[in-house]
Amino acid sequence: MQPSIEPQPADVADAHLHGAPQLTCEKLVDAITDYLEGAMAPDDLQRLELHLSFCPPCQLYLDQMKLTIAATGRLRAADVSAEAETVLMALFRAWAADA
Amino acid sequence: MSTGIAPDAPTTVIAPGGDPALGGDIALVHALRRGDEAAFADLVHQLHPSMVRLAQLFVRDRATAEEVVQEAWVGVLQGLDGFEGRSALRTWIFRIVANKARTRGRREARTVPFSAFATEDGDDDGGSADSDRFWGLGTSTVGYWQAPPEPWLDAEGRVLAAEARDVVDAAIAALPERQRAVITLRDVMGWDADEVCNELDITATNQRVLLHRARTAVRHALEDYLHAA
Repeated sequence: MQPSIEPQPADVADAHLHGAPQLTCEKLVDAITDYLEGAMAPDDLQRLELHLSFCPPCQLYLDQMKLTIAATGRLRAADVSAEAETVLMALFRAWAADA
Repeated sequence: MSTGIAPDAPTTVIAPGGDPALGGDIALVHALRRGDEAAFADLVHQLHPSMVRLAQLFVRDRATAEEVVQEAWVGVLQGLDGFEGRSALRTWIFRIVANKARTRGRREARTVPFSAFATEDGDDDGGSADSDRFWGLGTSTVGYWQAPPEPWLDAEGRVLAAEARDVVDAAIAALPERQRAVITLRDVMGWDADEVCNELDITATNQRVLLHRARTAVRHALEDYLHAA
């Protein structure tokens, strides 16, 4: 569907800074993992950082992606069930007595 | 500031060809061989949950994964004398888990080599992950946000709270297999990209693509959860 009102963000013009081809928000979002992984070519990295510097929604997206990664890391600290621990400690005692 | 090593500096015990950080592993192995139960309990608390997650990537269900990991612990104890400290203890233990889980998965006829189904299960369907959120062709703002992300109120507090864990866990469980494997190893277990590429036999580029799709899906799930609340 064709939108009736198109936003004219000031950043569209700014994106032409330095004559570099502009990086759109969509391209930034697509490249965000490459960025976080340090896997971008220097030119692309520069364009991405330039875009980030003038685009609050993309900064927000990046922050939320980092938060997502942190939240995922929280799954690491899971508990060991009492049942599993009992079995494993018994295994260890048997092994130690045998050794 | 001193630039050299003091003559009386304690020397760390390093296995030949090993890494200085592995000195602690060698001490731990000695404690286990002495039958130190507290040392074993600590190790179980540190590694067991990750071992179960790892096993779940290869076998049918959680119960089977628990079984495989129990077998792996037996293997770890029996093989302890052979541990030479050439790799980190945790890496060595995870390798034992992965081998046992893979064997078990193959017996269940479930495991397919990861690289063998690169175009299956929606992993490589191309296109951007969130393309409906940007202005489309025919607009002067093509590629810019049409539906920009909204701030997550009290983001840190809520995203890192216990409830959000279930949301993240469910989002990961719902991912296509290869994406689930990559995000589990990278972001849950904290492996580095090279380790993941080796374990799953995929290229660095493929690893990043899978990670990107998986993280995008998890971010999406968190967004839905935070905005629905």
